[in-house]
Amino acid sequence: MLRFKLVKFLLTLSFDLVWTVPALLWAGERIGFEGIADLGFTRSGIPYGAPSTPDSQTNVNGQFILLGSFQITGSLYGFYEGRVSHQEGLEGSDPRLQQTQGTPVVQGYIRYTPKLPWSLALQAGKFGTPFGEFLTRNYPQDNPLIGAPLIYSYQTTVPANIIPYGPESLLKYRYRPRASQTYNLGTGGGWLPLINYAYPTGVMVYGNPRTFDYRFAVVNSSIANPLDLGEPGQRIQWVGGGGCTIVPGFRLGTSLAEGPFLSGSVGPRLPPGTSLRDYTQRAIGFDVQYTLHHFEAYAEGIFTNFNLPNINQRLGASGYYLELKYTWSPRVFTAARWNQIFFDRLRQDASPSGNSPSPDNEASYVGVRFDQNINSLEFGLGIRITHRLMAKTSYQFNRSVGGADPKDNAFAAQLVYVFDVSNLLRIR
Amino acid sequence: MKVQIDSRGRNALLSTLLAIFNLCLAWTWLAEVVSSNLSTELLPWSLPAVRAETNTAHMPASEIRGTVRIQSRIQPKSMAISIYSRRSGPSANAPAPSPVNEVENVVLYLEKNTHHGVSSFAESQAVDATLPATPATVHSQPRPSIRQINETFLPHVLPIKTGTSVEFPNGDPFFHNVFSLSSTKSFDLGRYPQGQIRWVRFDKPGIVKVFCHIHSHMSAVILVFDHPYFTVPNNKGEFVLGPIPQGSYTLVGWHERLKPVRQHVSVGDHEPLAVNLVL
Repeated sequence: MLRFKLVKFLLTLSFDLVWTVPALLWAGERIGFEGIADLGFTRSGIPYGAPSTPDSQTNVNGQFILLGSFQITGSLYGFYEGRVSHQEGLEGSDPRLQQTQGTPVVQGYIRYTPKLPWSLALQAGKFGTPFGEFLTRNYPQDNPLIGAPLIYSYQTTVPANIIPYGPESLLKYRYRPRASQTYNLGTGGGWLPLINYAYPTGVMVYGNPRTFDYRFAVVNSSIANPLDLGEPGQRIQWVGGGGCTIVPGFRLGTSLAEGPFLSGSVGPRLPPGTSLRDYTQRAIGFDVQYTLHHFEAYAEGIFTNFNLPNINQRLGASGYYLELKYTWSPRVFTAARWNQIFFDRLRQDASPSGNSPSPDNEASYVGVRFDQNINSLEFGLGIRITHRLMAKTSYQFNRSVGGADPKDNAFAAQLVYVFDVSNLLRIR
Repeated sequence: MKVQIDSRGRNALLSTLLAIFNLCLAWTWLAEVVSSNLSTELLPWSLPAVRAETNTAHMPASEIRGTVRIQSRIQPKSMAISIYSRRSGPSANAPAPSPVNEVENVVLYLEKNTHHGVSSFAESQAVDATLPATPATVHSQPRPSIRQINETFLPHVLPIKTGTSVEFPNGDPFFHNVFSLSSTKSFDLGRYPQGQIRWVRFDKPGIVKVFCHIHSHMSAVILVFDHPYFTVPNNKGEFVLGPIPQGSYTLVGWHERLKPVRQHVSVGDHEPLAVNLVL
């Protein structure tokens, strides 16, 4: 069985590479393939003030990303992305927290750009959500640090595939097993981050006339719970955004989204008379970018809330990050990112089924946050060895306000290599 | 398709990932080394160092005229990858590939022949150079430039002489960040907007590969020579190189993605020499 899985896994990888050969031969300069390979390790669960303890955990992570670009006609463009990744250190109750995964199609879409005096493009297929800014630079060679912003990685107590009985069971999720650090991200239908690396399926229109830019998409899953085409729980919803480049290098942007986020598996367990469509996530985000000379600054904030079955209020959370990067020499840069997330307090003392607060747990649910506020500081150093090879290292301080376990720091190192697949497949 | 692997399989897969990663590194590094060696071999390091104090008034000199033609199939450049909608700037898409006249990316230059064949860089230091320092050569441009237009470096290939400063004006309505990590000259010009110019001085002969941090598909090559005997053909492949003092040389036709072509030439004292090169 293992051998079968291994063969299947290797076939997934080889599929990506093998089919590019004839494509390169036939398509010439109308096609481009780029590979991104990264390999890193994290030392996580480090308590404050100590480099490591026996409880600290070392994990190895790696991934290979294949990007393909196709100019079909002058106005028709295609894009493809496939990944093979291995992630460790995501211990917890969810089996996806430690896995090797091959995803033949992370993104795959067609873009049509009509020749109009005003900028407009239409895109259909599976693509990165247009919400927020960080997704556009989440590839390891673009991210100056190793971790992702907390709003994209910290998984809240809000589940997509579990229905809480009321505030009591919701609050118990605060003490669930979770990743001991945030370098590694989970995706899928379990505990939800505020924004996931969502690659929904849908259609999008976008453009950037003059100094403005806009985008509007109708997709099949929420920004917190990405679903692939064919998965149960898909519901049509919208995501939009826009921005203005005040001066070159200085841009202000905003994003909006609303739609159902629960997985289809919880459908039979929903309260009578309700459907998946009644439980939605709403989000509004703001982002700022400022770059000049060797200095770059990025900030992003989000206000979001979830409507959960058996909870008589929308569960809100707000978070932001501020990221600074400075390039000291052609080879050396440093970066730091400060993150915070704040969670709403409950206003409800009993569940609809009448459960009252347990004397052993909370005297009252009113005023209790549905998850612990969290903040994080990550700083790192990057070295460009060649223009294709980069080494990064970073240290991350994580703190849950009122959290039970303070062992939350993490150290990581990563090697990133970007290459033109064409050069691998051709004899130069 | 999602594949769950247990711990035994995980180790095997991790090894596979590492092996693939190493293979990619080794392969591409090998390609870069081969390319670099080829280019190094072609660089004018073999030319004798030119003495600035040489008196050129009485020296007989001529020039080389001719055409260069590309017969070999040049592997096309990969298309730029445009993943996300651009959040600034006037264009929604990365530029579509435009036809390139590759003959304009050819550089022609001379190597000095010695009694032992083409002189090496080390040998050239000992050669009694009698070449004029500043012939009325093709590069009369006071400060050459590589412009950034439509996410492309123009020209893509620029030959210069050591001590030359090259301008990098940004002609696009968005930022560029020009940089190079080449051992000949490494620099990072930072991000700057349309209309602004940054410049870099090149004091060491060799190849400088130039890129943009923001637009990874942008690239250019600067060939830094320690002598003035080089030129670039026009779009028809015609070139004029000189005046050149009489003597025996090797004329080299260089293109970054082709095997270089060498041709021995003997330059007389007055008559232009006609040479046709086929790459």
